Amino acid sequence: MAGEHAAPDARCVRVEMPASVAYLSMARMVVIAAAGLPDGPGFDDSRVDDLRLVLSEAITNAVKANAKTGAADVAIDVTVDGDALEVTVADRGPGIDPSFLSEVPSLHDIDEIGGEGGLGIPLMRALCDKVEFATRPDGGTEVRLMLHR
Amino acid sequence: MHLGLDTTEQGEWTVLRVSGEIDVATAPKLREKIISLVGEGCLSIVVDLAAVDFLDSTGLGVLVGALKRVREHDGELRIACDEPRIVKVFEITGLTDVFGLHGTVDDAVS
Repeated sequence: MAGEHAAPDARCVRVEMPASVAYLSMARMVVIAAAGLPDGPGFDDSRVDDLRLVLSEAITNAVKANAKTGAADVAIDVTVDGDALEVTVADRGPGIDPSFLSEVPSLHDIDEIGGEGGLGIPLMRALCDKVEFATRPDGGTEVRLMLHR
Repeated sequence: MHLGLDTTEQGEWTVLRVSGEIDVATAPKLREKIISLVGEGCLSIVVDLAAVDFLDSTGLGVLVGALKRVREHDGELRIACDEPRIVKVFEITGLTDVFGLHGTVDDAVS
């Protein structure tokens, strides 16, 4: 879980949201406000925009995963520790397909972009310092996003 | 959660002015609007994103799909936007090479 190794003065926040895209905009706003951003030290507007975007990508994937199992909630943990920001988004879906992570389309040729999807993970990887995907022991996927200011 | 869609004509171009947030919740409305425009025979389209506050990969995917759809009909779709937070989404995905990205609608139609 995010924040389990955080320093004592780190700010740790958990937000749980219904697994519905109707709450996505609100979740972006609530998570950023709850984490004390953009008023927190060191994170400029551009970096907060990055967080808003990667949050949206991770939550969208989590809501879609939950839709496959009927799970009700998505849990979002945010830890702000000095100049480091860590976000963990956990769903109760069927778990991640490894091929999903390796299939990165060439974004310079639209014929190689299948359908309308496949752009979220490249975006997360481009904007974060580190992105980790893990299948949770009790089912579902946990996405960990790490950003520095 | 809001998505505004207004259509105007500028010469031979149809200008679709989008406002609000484009994500998985609102993108279907944008997709349907573009499909409707193409169905009506509008094949020179400028999507004006100047009033868009937020765009994620789902919205980007809809724009890619729209570009493919318009090109299938030998049409053209251009993007007008100079808002840095939106332009950045195109830049980091490399899609500035795919779309004609213009600072203003006037630039896009000229």
